[in-house]
Amino acid sequence: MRNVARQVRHLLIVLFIVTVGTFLLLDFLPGDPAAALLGETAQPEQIEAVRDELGLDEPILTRYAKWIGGVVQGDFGRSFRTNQPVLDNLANRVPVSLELMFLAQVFALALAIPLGIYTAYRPGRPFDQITMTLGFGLIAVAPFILALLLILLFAGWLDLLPATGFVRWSDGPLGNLRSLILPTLTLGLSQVAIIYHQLLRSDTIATLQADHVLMAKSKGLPTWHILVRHALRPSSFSLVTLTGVNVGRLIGGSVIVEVIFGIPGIGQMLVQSIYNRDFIVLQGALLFTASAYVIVNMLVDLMYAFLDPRVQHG
Amino acid sequence: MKSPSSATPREGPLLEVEDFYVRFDTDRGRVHAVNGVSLSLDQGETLGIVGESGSGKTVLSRAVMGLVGDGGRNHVTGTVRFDGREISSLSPRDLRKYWGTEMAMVFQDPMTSLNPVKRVGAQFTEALRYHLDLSRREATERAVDLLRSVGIPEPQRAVGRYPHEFSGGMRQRVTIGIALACNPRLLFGDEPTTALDVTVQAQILDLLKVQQVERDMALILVTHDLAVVRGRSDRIAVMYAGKVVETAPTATLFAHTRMPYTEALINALPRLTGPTHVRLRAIPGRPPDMMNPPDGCPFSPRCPYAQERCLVEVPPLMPSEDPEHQFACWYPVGTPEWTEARDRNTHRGETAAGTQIVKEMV
Repeated sequence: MRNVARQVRHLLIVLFIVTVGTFLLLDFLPGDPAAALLGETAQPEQIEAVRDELGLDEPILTRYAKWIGGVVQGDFGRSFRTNQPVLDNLANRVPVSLELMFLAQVFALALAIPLGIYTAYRPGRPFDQITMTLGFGLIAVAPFILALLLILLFAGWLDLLPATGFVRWSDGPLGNLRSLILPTLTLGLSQVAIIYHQLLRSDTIATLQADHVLMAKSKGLPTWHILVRHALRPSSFSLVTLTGVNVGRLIGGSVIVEVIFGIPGIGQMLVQSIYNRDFIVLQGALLFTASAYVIVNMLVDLMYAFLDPRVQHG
Repeated sequence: MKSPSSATPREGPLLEVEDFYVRFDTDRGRVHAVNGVSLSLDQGETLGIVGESGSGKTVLSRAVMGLVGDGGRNHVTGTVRFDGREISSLSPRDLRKYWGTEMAMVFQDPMTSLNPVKRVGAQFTEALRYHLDLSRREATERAVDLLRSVGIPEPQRAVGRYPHEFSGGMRQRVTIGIALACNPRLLFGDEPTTALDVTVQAQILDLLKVQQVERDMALILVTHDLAVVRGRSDRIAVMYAGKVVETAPTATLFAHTRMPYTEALINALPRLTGPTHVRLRAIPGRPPDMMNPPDGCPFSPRCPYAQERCLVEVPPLMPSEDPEHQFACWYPVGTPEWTEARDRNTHRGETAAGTQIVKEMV
């Protein structure tokens, strides 16, 4: 329990630093939210009126105190532009990013785990070399290029899937999944599957050298049993760590993929609010992504104890 | 799954190894780990394989069992017959049916040979369930019985524990229990006590003995320590540079040592009787580089009796007047040739290989 309290304290410190940091950073950014809101034809007195209305002329400490005071009471403020509550906006977008994150992770792990174990079992064979070459190729290709290639292939030539756009689950599960196939492939292949595969492969190769694997072999157990039941768990520390990092990151949305495929998630929200100088929205989105990141990594720490009973917390 | 060989006992040795070679290709060259070893072992018999680190004894035991297989960068040749059936030519899939049920192995370091993230019970039951087709409950009951028989206190609770919750000696008891789980007829003990405290060593060796007698199981005890096998083996094979250099019934080996290397090993044992604070008689030099084995007798560079012939001609493993006692030496200890060789080397102050003769050596 003391450990949980420490983790929470850690979370609060991180969030304080993140919120103060972004507040300061946004204050230094060139560009006036009021001017951005009113457009190029706005008169100086109109801008002044809006600045006054939004409270932008108050000292930064006052603005921060007001904002954080609201956050603590569950009020993230309203968008400068649409006047929509930031919390409503988040509530709309979080499930979208979550779904994409989940699908991408499942796809990546489903691909990486069997590949990683098999290539670790037979390293240096042609199959291993082919997957490794393909993998490094995919890492080298920037995600947005991969996205465009996939769009070209599946939406252009094959005409199987929509190029962009997002269908909500409530508007039809099938359409929803169809609209997420290409974003999932892009995220899963470019950022996740290959690195997961390489990581698991090298850790599994190390585990397979261990005495306990030889002992398991000497019991006459079938190879798949040794690989899956003996070697996988001790080899998955790095994989779990990296998966945690990626989950934490992707809960906060994937900017490039969401923008390219027109998916209304957190990543898109971040980009739009920066373009619009809609800082109150940006603050809310960043607060959410930072919290998600820290919390997921706390959970990963707890996972270690499950992976290895020798890990004692405290 | 049924065990592959029938339960009815047959005549002849349980294990026969003939002309066995193991070589590894490494980036620096080819390592000649085992160079033409032949062995045989009867049901219920104990064979001690003794040698320094790097003598090939561990590789030999793993390769005989098939854990180190031919293929890739490993080259394993020679025949291994188990219970009359040639197993060295079996596919890995068929060979696996012998592991656990017919042949099993206890490894050197119980700190690393148990899977750290699996409960002890699961490490018993997986083999039981796979080989004997037991249900989960039957297998667990069997695991509890086995843990009790190898001397683990509170076996019902032990099955739910992880390896790190046991001491080294207890862990080695656990690995022995696991090795015995499917009633093998041949157990390899690969330095089973080397990693343990001296006080625990004897307990583990006694446990192996008890289990062996109870099950009429053959035992191959691989060790670098002659003292370990002295009172616990029927026969001993001394290995040097991947070869058996002397083999004899245990009592004969100690009473009529012929090979100078065996003599040096016996002399290196600390004595309980006699004066205290005497320097241990260590063997000078190091075992040969197995990537470039020397011409002639591999022990000649370290042997105090080495003559010119030893440097150029490899002595074969020959039987003496006692067919059970074989050794590979041109000047066997205790023979007139040996006396002559010793006197010549003492006289010239060095061996034919150029090794200085120090008083304690001869």
